[in-house]
Amino acid sequence: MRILFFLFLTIVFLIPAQSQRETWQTREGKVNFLSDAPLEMIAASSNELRGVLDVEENTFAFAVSISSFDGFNSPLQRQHFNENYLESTLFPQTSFKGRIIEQVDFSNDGEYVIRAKGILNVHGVEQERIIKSTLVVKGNSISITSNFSVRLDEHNITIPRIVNQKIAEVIQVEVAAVLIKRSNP
Amino acid sequence: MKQLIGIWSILLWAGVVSVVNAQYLSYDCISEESDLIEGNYSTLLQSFDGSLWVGASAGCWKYDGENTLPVPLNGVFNTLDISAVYEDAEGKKWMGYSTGQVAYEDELGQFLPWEIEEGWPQARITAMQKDSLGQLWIATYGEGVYCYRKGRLYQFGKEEGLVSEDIYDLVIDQAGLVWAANDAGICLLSWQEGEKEVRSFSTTDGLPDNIVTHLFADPDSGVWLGTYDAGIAYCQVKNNQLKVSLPDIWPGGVVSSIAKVDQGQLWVGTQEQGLHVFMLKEQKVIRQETQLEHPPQRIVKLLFDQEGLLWILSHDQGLCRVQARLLNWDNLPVATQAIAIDQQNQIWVGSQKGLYYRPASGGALVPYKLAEDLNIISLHVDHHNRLWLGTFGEGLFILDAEKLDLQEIGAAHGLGNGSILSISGDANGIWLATLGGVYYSPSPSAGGLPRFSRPEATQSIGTDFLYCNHIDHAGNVWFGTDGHGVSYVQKDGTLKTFRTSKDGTSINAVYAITEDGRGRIWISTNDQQLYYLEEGSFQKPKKPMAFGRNEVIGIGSDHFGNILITHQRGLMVYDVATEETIDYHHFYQEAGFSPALNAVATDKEGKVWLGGIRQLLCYTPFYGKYRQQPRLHLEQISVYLDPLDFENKTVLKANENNLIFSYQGVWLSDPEEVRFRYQLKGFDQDWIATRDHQAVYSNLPPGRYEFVVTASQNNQFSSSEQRVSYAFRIRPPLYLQGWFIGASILLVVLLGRYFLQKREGRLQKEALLLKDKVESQYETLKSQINPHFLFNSFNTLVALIEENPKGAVTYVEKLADFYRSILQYREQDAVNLSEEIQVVKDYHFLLTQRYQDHLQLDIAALPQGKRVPPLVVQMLIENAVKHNVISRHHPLKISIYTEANYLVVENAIQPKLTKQPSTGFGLQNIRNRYALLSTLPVKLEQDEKFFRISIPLVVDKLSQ
Repeated sequence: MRILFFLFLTIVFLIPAQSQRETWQTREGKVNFLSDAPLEMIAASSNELRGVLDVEENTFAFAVSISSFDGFNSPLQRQHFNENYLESTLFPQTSFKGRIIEQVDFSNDGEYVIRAKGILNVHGVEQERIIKSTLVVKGNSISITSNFSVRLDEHNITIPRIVNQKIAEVIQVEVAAVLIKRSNP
Repeated sequence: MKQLIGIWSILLWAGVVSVVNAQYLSYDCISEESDLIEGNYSTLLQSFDGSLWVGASAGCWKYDGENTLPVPLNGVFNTLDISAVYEDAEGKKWMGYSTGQVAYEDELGQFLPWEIEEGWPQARITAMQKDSLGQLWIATYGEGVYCYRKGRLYQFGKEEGLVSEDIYDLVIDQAGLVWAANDAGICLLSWQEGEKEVRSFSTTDGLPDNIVTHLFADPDSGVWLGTYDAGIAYCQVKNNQLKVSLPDIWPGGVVSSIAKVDQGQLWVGTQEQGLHVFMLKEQKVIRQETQLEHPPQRIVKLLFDQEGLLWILSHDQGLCRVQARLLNWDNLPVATQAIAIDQQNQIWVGSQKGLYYRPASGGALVPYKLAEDLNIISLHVDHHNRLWLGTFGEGLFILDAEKLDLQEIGAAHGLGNGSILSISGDANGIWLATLGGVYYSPSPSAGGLPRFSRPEATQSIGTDFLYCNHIDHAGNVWFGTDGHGVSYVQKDGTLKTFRTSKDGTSINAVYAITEDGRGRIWISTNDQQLYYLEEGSFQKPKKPMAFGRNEVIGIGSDHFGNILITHQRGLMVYDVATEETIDYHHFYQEAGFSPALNAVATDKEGKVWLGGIRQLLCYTPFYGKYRQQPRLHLEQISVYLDPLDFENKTVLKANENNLIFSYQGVWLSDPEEVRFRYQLKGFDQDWIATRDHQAVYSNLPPGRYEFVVTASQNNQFSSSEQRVSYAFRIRPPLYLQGWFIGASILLVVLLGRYFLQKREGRLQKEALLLKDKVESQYETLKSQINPHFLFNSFNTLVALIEENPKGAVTYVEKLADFYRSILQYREQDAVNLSEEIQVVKDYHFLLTQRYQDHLQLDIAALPQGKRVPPLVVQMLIENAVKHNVISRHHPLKISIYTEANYLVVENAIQPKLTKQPSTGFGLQNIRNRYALLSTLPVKLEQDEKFFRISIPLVVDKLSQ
């Protein structure tokens, strides 16, 4: 959590201080992932997705702590996930930050399909990605839903051969977050 | 003959006369006659199969020379606004939409949305290209460039260094570099060890303009840029540095498309100011005129196709084609009769009314004013660059254009005839073909005049009327005569004449002589034949040429050594290497070119100038290899109108024997001339020539076939054309297939064996039965003539005779009946149950005379229509009597009744004190006889009180 806090500080202070800068922050954020391998299906989720969206710059940053994922098939599986595969002590969090390609007018309510271009950091390996998301703007809140895939080999996550029938090479990730407007003085 | 002597003064009026003619390219716009929609065109592509694909705001159209058909894109997206069309190395098409969506063609030729996780761009797709690694590059107007790489879509945008994300165009050059054009110049995009790299170049790097609207990857190397304001520029990357070269002064216009026509010309289309042609060798831009009243102005795309045609897609004229090999000149005031090109590359044209010339600097053809309008019929430039003018009836002249000096040559110089039809010469001498025989003069020195004489050898040609002459590469001088074949004077001065060709046809009048690239002499004759000299005789070309009804007028050769043939419809080119002829009549049909006899000359650039009535035609041979025959492919094979997956399926069922083969031969130069020839090997004896695009076969018998089709654009077929084939097999029907026949034979054999075995078994059984029957009869007879029975019977009879003579008679009658029954039935397998019971009753009657009523027989009601083996029941009664005590105190009751399908004979057991010996024969005999009659067994039940035997009843077949 402390790291997350620093991330926020970084993001907040990196943005040049302007009067009435309009940013949106997560009120709630959920990440699910699903590994659908021939022998086993593993699903886990975290409710600790945090993020900000700078409407004027059209930029964003999201992060989630690896150790906050829960819902594995067994406690041992969770331990392996943290210790062997994602190495959460070395790389405690996963983040995605960048820019929205489309120009969206967030003052208008409505549903927008946007593409977010940015750097996805998983397991300490950065990959540039374009992630398609659906935004629903309604008054002072924005709901974001998104589906995308993460290839383990793209992030140097190696699976021992003995369990490679149990873990998929491509992990499906589902993100749902609600952001609310927060104006910085 | 009119003799003219003297020196003429010359009045030179060059440049005074205004332009009397125009040069233009023949454009041919197909849009009017096709179904191509009017609209906002976006792109033009030639597919590997030769067809043209036009992208537009309302869809995409495919033109194959014959039809213009919409590409089925309905339903792929809710828009049809195509902004980019691309064909990858596998021949798969990609469609880019102005909305940013992308569709691709699957194996069956249907278009499907290209589904990617990252989603489609939201901006107009301006270009798509795949690189050698299979990475798809997509340029957008507004979102930079996307690259689809290893299953992921990446963007090259502002973050990566693109100054502007509005990309006008993207190409991949011969070296594999990816170039993108935008408002800030050009960028080179690449991946360096997994990282994106963008190198931008602008006016500071030497570009003429920052707004680069078009890119054209030169097929040789480098990239041409088309700019908004400053025309074109050529860029190359050498030693990691960009080198830019800027040609000429730009006439103006926003460049929209560039195409390289063969190796000499770069065609540049502009958005609103039509076409410019950039001559690569001269490094200058020229403006090409057309015969069109409204030539294309708002150019969308230029394309130089596989056949060497240039295609122009424009908003104002739709799709037009240009045969850039041919440049027409018309509106000449007179009929051209002779052409010569001097050492300065000036073109001289002789006509019925004087001499014309075109300065080396280009421009129009202008009259060269002589004091008198001569009827010039032959021209020749000698090695001193003097022009020799042969006239019809007015003698020979030598013009030194530099010195403005005209000399008339006549009888004073040894020339005895004023009609000079042909002049040829080299450094050694000048040869004239006149209507008064051959004249020869050693080449005069500079400024000197010739001394003509008639060489001795040529006197034996046979006629004085000579049409043409030619000096070949070996120095032989050839003459075409009127009616006496073709002759040549060898270097040693002897004459050789050909009056017949190799196949025996006579060679009479010879109108033209030329020489091909292999040093072979070609002649054209008055009977519309072309011959070439090989191995000492003149022969026709192996692959016949299709002149049709067109009269061959002249022949010449270009600097590749190919033969040019002018005929009444225009120009035909015979490729000496491939032996193909291409007829270009289509491209000047409207202008109506009618060539003049022997008005052919080749200039220093290799262009061939052909003279016609009031016209000139300039033919530029192309260096590149272009398609000379239609691009052929099998479009569809259908079985009973259902399309067949013929790429994968080659074995058809017996009833899949109605086939339609559809094929397409794309020859965009002249689609109407495409002819096909097909043959179904295994069915057709010979080739079938047709214009149709379909071959129909119905009720094909089973067998192996191969459908072969070839196409031709000149209706001449040999074995060298591209051929497309489909080999397949129709399986015989089930009843004719080997395994089925084998299995059937096996089955018949097995069945036969089975029946034989069964029959044998039956015969054996029958033999056994017969034996049993005989034994039974024997036993029965034996028992009936058992002395004991007879003795008893006779004793009974004796008693009866005395006491009851009437009863004795009855007894004897019954006895006789009994014996008759035995005799009657013994031969039969089975008798009616009622008959058997009658026998039993008779037997019982005989027995009752002895046992009184101590032997009781109780016969229940018995069913009709049943049978039993004869004397079986009688035998059972006999057995019962034999083994049991019958007395007043121990009466024996025998019951006969039916139970289910059995007849039961039952009696109480009252064993005799002295046991009768039992042979056991009786029961066994019954069992054996039943084995053949019924599947039901004979049942024997015995307890302490009763003996019960059940015999199956056999159904009477007659009553069934």
